[in-house]
Amino acid sequence: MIIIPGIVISILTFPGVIVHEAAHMLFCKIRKVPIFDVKFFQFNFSVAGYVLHKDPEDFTSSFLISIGPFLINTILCLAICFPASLPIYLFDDFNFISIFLVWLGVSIGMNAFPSKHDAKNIWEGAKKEVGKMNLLAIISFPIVIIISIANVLKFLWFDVAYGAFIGIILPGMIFKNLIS
Amino acid sequence: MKYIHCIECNQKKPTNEVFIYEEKNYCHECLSKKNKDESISEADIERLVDDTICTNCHYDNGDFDLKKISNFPLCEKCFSLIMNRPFPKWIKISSVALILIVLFGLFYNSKYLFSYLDIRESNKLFQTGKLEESYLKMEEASRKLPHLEYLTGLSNLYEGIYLFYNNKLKEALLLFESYKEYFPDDNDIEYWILNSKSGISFDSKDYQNFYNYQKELFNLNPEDIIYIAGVSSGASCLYIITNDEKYKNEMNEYFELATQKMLPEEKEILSEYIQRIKYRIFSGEIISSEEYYEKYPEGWKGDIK
Repeated sequence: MIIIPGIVISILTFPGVIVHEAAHMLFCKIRKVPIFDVKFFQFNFSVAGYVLHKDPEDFTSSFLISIGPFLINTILCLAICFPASLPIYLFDDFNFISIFLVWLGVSIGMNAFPSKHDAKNIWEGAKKEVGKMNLLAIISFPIVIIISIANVLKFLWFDVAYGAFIGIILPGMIFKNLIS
Repeated sequence: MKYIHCIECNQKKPTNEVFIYEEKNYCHECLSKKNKDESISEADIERLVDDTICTNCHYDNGDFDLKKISNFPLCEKCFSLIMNRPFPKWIKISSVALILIVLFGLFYNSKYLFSYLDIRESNKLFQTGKLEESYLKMEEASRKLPHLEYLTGLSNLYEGIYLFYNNKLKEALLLFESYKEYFPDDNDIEYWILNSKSGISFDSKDYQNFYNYQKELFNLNPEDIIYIAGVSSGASCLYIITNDEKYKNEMNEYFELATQKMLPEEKEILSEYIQRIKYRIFSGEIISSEEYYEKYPEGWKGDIK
């Protein structure tokens, strides 16, 4: 197995890192949560970007801020990759524009998964809320488990696999059905 | 700024530079000295926060406490910034650029989808025998993606087939040959090319070449009864113009072969073809199929020995 330092992956997929942090910030702003500091991208071996915000007072805000990048990055990845895959899957036309768009889409998709820290935030909030029978808190537990597994599997390029699945394999499956 | 006395040296120090250890206030120097002697754990030390100094920009608010967010005192300006931190300009511009890229991607690639749908439609029309609409749709598909040359080739094939069935054989031949340039490995095009050449030869009364092309077609597919009967037709033409018995014998030989290989469902089409050839021998004249059907709309019903 090839081990590539995280910083290299982050540099190669920098648009995804920026979109991830911008999504955190967007949801902080939507939920009116104070933001102390933001780094959309940095050349750092441990953290490529971050949003430092006040602990939200309600669980919904905490959940949305943590999950926001997953939603935004995934939607953007689909929106970019689906049209870009058309020439490739329907006509075997690997033109520069399509390749660029697929790279951009997959870069964004690869950075969709919330971090371990995001998972911890949801977990802490959900533990407090679950006693109040908060439905969002209840469904958060399996989500936290999935995020945690995804973070562990990042070592095995799970993030790359997710981006490739959403951006390359899924459009391929749909277009191949369209062809047949 | 607020000041506090250090319990050890009794000096007045800014609150932000004072630490609490075992519920007593120490300045940095005294705590360092104590740490050397006692090895203090970091967890047991707490740093004091001066509520009159802004954590973000270090603005000094004199004796008055500042507003706080999460225990961090902040001046009005920093408080407002943290409460409503705007997206940086470059992020706003990048977001607009990203939206434009998504829209561009949709617009740019939509032609591939529409072209593909045209091809599907064209194939459906072709299968239902609507050859003119079929080739026009294929032409549309090719126009949408002019850089994909093989689509031009496909469009030529479909137009060629349409022209072929409308007896415009010379024009059809040119298009088939152009298709072959795009798809040199497609062997099926040879049938169309040879059929066109054979038809052109027949129309120009070049019966020797008509016969030769029919033979080539037969060699390509010796199992197809139409091509077997085609050789018969070519031989019958040569018999009429040369009166050479060998051609008559060849004609009969291929009649027989075609009849042997004929499937029950092919009987009608083969019988009709054979009748036209027999009529040629009977009348001693070579006429086109149009002329033949003008004379005998139901087909010639006679026979020859």
